[in-house]
Amino acid sequence: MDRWNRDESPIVAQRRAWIGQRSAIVRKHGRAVTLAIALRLLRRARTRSEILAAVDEILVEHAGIAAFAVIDSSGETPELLHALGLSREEMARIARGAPSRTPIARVPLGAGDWMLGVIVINRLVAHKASLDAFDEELLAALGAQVAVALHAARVATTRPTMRPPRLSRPEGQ
Amino acid sequence: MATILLADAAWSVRQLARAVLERDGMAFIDATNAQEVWEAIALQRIDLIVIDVDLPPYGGQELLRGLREVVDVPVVTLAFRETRLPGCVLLKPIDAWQLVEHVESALDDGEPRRDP
Repeated sequence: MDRWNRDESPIVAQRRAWIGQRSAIVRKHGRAVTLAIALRLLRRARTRSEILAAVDEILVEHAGIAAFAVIDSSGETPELLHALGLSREEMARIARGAPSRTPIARVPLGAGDWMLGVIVINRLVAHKASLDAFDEELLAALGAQVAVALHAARVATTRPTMRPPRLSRPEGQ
Repeated sequence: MATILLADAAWSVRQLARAVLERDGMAFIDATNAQEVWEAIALQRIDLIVIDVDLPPYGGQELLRGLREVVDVPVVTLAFRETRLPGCVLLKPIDAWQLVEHVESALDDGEPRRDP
């Protein structure tokens, strides 16, 4: 029996080490893929509603966020663009420009000095205690991309349309 | 090579699962709703189904009840909260390694399948 134990021990230990290495590789690959897919999902979105639907999917499906609000604060008064899982009272507070009562995190929408707004995260799914390092990386990447996408969508809808000059018909036609 | 059918309405979840499971040497088919699940099962041999509990239009639980009368394959359920569904339940957000582990473990434990 001792001989078997001695023989098995290195094999079991090696297998455990191999599983550990494999899990680390798959996790790392999975996180890189998640980040790439999230950004690809955003790039596919053209209109404001498509962009907000993409944000919703990324936050819910890949960061485990159960309640959040997307706020545009570039105008004179903050505008609530999208919200999930918030009470009416909380949404009304945010729409009035009051800060959220119980934010877990605030993700700035912008890059450098330019800020379009913020994503306020209020609650995670029940089995998730906190945001981890990967979530923070994902949210940071999202903040810049969402801001650019929302700005581009706004410019696209407000750009004046160019009409060709009306040609006058020659007389007699 | 095992063939996995993943049914989830979210495009990004399907893409993630595809990237991870195909890299692990599995064939992958996806579905976005119940109708596509039925079509996939009618047309192909499926070794394992990964299904979102909130799959449109009437939810994964209802669909699973119907599926169990037709095919006998292991199932991994994706959910945002703890559920009392039979089989493996993987909580969202999906961790790539947990998905691979649950799928491999369900394939190992799976009973002999019945072809449609």
